[in-house]
Amino acid sequence: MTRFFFILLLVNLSCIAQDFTRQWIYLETIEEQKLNADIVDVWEYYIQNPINLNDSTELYRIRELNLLSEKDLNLITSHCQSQQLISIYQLQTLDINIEALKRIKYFIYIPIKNKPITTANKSTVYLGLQFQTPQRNGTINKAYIGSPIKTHLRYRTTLKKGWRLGLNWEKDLGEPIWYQNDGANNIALNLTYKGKGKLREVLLGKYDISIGEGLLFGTSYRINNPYFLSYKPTSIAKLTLSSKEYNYFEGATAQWRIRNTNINVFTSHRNLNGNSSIDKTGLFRTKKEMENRKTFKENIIGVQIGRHHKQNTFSWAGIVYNSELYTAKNRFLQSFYASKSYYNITYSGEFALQDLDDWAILQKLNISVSDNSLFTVQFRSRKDSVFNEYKSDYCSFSNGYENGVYYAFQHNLNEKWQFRLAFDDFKSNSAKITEPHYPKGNKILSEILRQSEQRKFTVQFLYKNIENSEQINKLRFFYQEELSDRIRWNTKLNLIKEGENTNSSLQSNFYWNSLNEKNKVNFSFCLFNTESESIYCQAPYFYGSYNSRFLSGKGNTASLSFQKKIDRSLKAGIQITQINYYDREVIGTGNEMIDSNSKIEFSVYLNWKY
Amino acid sequence: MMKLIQLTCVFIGIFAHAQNTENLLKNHFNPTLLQGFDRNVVYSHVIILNREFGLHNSKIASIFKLQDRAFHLAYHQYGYEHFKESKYSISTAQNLNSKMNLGVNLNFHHLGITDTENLKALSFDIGYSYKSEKYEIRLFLENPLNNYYIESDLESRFIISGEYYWNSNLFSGVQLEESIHNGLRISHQLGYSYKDYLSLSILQSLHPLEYGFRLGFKKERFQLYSQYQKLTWTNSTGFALIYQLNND
Repeated sequence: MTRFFFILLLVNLSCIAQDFTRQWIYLETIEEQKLNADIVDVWEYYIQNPINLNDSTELYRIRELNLLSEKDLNLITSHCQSQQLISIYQLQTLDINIEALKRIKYFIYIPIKNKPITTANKSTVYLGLQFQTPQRNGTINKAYIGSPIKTHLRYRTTLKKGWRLGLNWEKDLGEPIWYQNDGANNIALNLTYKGKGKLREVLLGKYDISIGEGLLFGTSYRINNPYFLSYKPTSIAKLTLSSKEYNYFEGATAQWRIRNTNINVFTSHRNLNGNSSIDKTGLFRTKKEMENRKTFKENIIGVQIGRHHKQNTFSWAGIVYNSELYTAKNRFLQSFYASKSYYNITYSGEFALQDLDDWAILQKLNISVSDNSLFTVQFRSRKDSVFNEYKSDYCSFSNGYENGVYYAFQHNLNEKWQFRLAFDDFKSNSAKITEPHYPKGNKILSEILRQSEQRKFTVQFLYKNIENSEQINKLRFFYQEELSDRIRWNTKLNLIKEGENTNSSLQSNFYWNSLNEKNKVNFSFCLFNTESESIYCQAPYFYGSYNSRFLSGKGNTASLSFQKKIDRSLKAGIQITQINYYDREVIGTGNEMIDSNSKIEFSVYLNWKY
Repeated sequence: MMKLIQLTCVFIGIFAHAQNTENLLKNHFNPTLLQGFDRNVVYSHVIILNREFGLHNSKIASIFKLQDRAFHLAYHQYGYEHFKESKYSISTAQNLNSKMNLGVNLNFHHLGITDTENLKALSFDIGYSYKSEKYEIRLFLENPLNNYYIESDLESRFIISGEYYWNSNLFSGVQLEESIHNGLRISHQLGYSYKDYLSLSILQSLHPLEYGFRLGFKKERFQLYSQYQKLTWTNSTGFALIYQLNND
């Protein structure tokens, strides 16, 4: 082992440790609540597997980065489809903000002609630790089996002949690294192969599935900005090294490509956590919690056949699903997906069938007018008995109800100003015991956005009304300014009014970069005051630790972080976060209780790329 | 000629920007304001919240320089005959660079309630400001560590405010204020000054809905302000007097 590390130390230090601050800050302005480890996992994947802009079958994956607007995506896609590029810098000729191109620069490439494909060894090791003080009751009373330190190890490397290896191992506070007689805690191991022949990809280990619009399966990361819902399916199976403990599959997948037809085969076998329902917390710290670990078997086997030709896409998927939690009987699920573009009109739709009895449908029409306006209308409906365990993002629209119509309009007033308006009407199919038996409601979402190189400004307003429930009004304000070449400041205001209750928070973040860009200091302060709804708070970007939390009650939270590039391959960081509550004497209950109204969390990491 | 007039206006604007004494009348004192004052200043304001009980909010303060560093000393009182909350403050600020300042207030609080024990507490506030040619952004953290008399009874706020100077006569201000005790407050202000001796400001709060106006008059080194505000729970009237001393 010592020898292994010694060899690693001697490896040529040729790559710059990647930092996703620019990408993170972009997403912060769009959909803050979607910022988590999963998106960083996606970016890390595409750093190692950049997208070939000259390959029309790979090109559409740019969407998975979630770093471009709909307009920019369309421009790049149509430009790359119309000609073979020599350099990625040719994208600068398009009417796209240079900032947008900088965001995706590291994720795209153009293969150099007549140059043999080399598999340069690229490996990254990430080690993160997190602990808090005062300690929780579970640690003090020794109810927790493991140490009070959260640890996270991630390793990715490129092997020979198109093979790649990845490892992710995480344990939460109070959990052991290894459960006696029960295996390792939250470990993911991936082996992938990428080929140029008919067999394009083989994947062994932890992966995501996204089929069609996601009526049946949609576990991979995607941001559907609620202020303009627009999702286009990309890859079917994609490896994941994120630490998620529920929304993923484990097994093997393979993809063949024969002319314009893709064939995906996938199989998964894993043990779900839970007792009478699935445990999605992923926390197994005490003997009692451990009883819920790996209790139900789940098996999936499926095939997907998709054909993409010019502007048309068709696909069919057949999946056999079996889970001990629901029924011993196998479920046979089918998905039919079609998409067709005709000039500025795109239609797409998915029809899902369960055991030839129950069904779900989603239909979508997108119309663009010049480059500045976009209109979408979507209709969705499903029987409440249709399989919805790995519910895709669309379910969070329509309030999670089965029937819904969503229509939205987006217009670029000029280079800087953008306006969005969306309406969502929904109704439940599932009968409730109390009145209303079939609740219905609607949502109105609006957004005004102004972006220039120096500042960004967003105001979002959401109105939600559900029959016999309190109306909810949400206002979100975001302002960001480059105070100097090295200092960026932003502020976020959240106001949620639910009936008579007011919930609010005010937050400010500072980002400082040293002149040589080797040192970064971030500071954040947020004061919150809530009565009925919790408020989302996201601290500044800190590699590997996402510190996002829902805050409720009265109090403040502050964080300070320092990150340093020690050399071209090694990067380290430390973050201190404090939360003070003004309305309580202790934080939490049971084993999670902390005997104080404030707590401090320390996070440190080391990232090594060689 | 026109350009010369414009240049003079911009110069006056920047000068007026640096000396916006109306900021002293805000509901908080951001210590970074000290960097805008070249002269020593003495000021006081009284806001009457309820005449029947004598409920008031008043302050007397001075800004002065000691070894080239500006300080602010203030005595602030809120309450009425049987309930008096007093605050003694000392403040100073430091330039971080030509555009940014950082400041701190140290406060001693005293609470006197008739027939009960007097209470005392210490607290501090932090202020930050960024100043450009036409606008200024300020951040203010009041009592961030939640110091208290007994338990969470001292106000703790986070305030972000900004002012934009349209020209030498007209400015607008926005203030976002999150308070542990009172929740969110969003307010804005529009101020206009005429020939540097008369000024009018319109004050409005959007959340909660409140409004008011302030009239100012300047005569040499004296400035007199009078204001009326319709608050959600009362109507208030107030006045302020600011005197800029000759540094010599």
